[in-house]
Amino acid sequence: MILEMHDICKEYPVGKSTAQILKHIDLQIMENDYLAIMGPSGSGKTTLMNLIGCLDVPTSGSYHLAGRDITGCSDNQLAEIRNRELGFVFQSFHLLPGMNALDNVALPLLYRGIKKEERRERAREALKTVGLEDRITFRPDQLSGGQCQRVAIARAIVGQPRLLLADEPTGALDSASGQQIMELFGQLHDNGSTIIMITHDRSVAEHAQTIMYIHDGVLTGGESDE
Amino acid sequence: MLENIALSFQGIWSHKLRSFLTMLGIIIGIASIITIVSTIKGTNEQIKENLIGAGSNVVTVKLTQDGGEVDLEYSSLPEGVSVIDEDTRAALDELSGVKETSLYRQRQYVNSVFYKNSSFNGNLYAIDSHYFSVNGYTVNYGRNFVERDFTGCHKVAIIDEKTAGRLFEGANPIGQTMEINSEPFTVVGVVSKSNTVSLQIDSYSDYMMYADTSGGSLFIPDNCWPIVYRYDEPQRAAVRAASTDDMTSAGDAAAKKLTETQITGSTYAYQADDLLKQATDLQALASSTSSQLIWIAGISLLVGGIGVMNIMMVSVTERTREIGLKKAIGAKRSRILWQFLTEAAVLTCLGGLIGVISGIGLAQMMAKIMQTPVAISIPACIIAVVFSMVIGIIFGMVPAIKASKLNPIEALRRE
Repeated sequence: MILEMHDICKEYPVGKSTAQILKHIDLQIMENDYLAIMGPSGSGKTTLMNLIGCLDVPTSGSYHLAGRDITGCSDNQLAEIRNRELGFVFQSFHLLPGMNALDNVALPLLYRGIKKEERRERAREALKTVGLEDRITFRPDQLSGGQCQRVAIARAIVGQPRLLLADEPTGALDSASGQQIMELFGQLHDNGSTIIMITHDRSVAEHAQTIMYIHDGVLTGGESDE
Repeated sequence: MLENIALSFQGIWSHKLRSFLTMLGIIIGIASIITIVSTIKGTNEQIKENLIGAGSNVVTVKLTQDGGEVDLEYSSLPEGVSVIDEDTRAALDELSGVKETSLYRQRQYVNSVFYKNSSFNGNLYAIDSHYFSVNGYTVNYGRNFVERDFTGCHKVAIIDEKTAGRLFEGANPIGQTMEINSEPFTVVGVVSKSNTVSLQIDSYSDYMMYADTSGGSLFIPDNCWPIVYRYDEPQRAAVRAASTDDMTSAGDAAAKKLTETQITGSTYAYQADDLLKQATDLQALASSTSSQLIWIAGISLLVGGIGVMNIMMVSVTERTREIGLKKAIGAKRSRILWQFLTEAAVLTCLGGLIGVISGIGLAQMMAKIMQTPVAISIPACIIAVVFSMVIGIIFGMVPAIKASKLNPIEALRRE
């Protein structure tokens, strides 16, 4: 068991009352699962993503990630968990414009306190995995959208996290590049990665093993594709 | 840390114009402070040089009574004060900080020296064999006094260039006989100060200081003094210190020694003319006026610091996404804080460095255009750079804290 959420609720204050964004979410992710969470905008899928990604803490409920209780963690502890256990892939890549691909990929290892030589070596490996070993000195503005997203995926996997989190990974790409990205996720899954993907696009979600739906803060489904 | 600094340089370089504008306040502030400090230091060194006489380091030890100088031209011979002998003079040479001493007697504005129809209105010195070397005179032509001139009371005289021009009006003075208090003296040599300093007279006291050399000088062997003035009198001592900083202590030590050995049972005392102290007083005056200028320049540094804070604030807002991403992939608060603090410090440190360089350039330019003396102070330059770095850290604090507290969710959502 990599991830276990039980009875998670998340409320935000809206004026004097509170809005309940997530309602009693239960979620379990096993090693090498490939889950897609679908939902329209405003359904709470981004909030759920933030909770899973340890960027936010739930109002109530319990959340264990890699055997560790997340709910009581401090800011710095959360930062460390994000760094070690999670890999993020965002819709808009979020690469640092001033750095080349290699340094962008190596960034999470810097926060882990790994020496420069090893960082570069591992970043080079990760770039090779995503098929960009010939682009390591290119800056983001010299790369296409699909290549940028592959650099971002390399950055997500460089620290060998337990869980890959992808938030609309093809949302900013044309369909051909999107297709390549989804194939890459498929390969990563085949090689043992655990992936949670959030999307509103059914054709993207269908690449996953399992699809769940979130609607008005309620998570349903979980039927297997296979 | 080193990596942080390298990253900061990268950031600064990628926004060249903005970084330069941010630094501008610091650059101007530091440049003006360095210019002012250099000018003060230059002026101070000039004051010291002018007053003390470029490296001659000579202190005059005079006879005083109740703190006032005894001018033997007008007062009667002091009782209880004996003439200083050669053994005592030699003992003065052994004092710490003393290089060489000379004993001499002096009359100012003498009006009893004639050659043909010309008269002389300068100073008459009766000197020992050390006088020229202590005071930095060299013989231009003719000869110096020799041992026999002193022991035999030869009526010979040495004059300086000024006297030669006044009294002999271009004719060769060597071998000519002039009249000092109705006694014939033969001129044997002409001397001049080997290290002449251009005079800078800013005040009445400056004038008085230089006045004694302005009418020219005339030197006779000290044993001839009674021939001219009919009586002996206690000498003054010229003490050459080993270095400028030794002047005060060497002068005081010599004065103390002379007071102990020469004076018995009277209120007279030997006292050193402390030129160094006068120089220091003048320097303090010059510095205090300029230190107000430094305060004003300091305000521009403050403004520069606020400018840095302002730009860093903008930079934090602009880089919200970068901060959010870094936090999402595991950067802790302290790391973001340090990143921005380092950037601010590197930026202002660089600004300080540029400021120091342009300040030095500006000071040199002023020296050329306005003929003011300039001396670059290395410690001031180092302090300036360190100080601008401190400004960066202080004014970078608020933006850095703001950056470190950004919520990564909000920060990532920002497009």
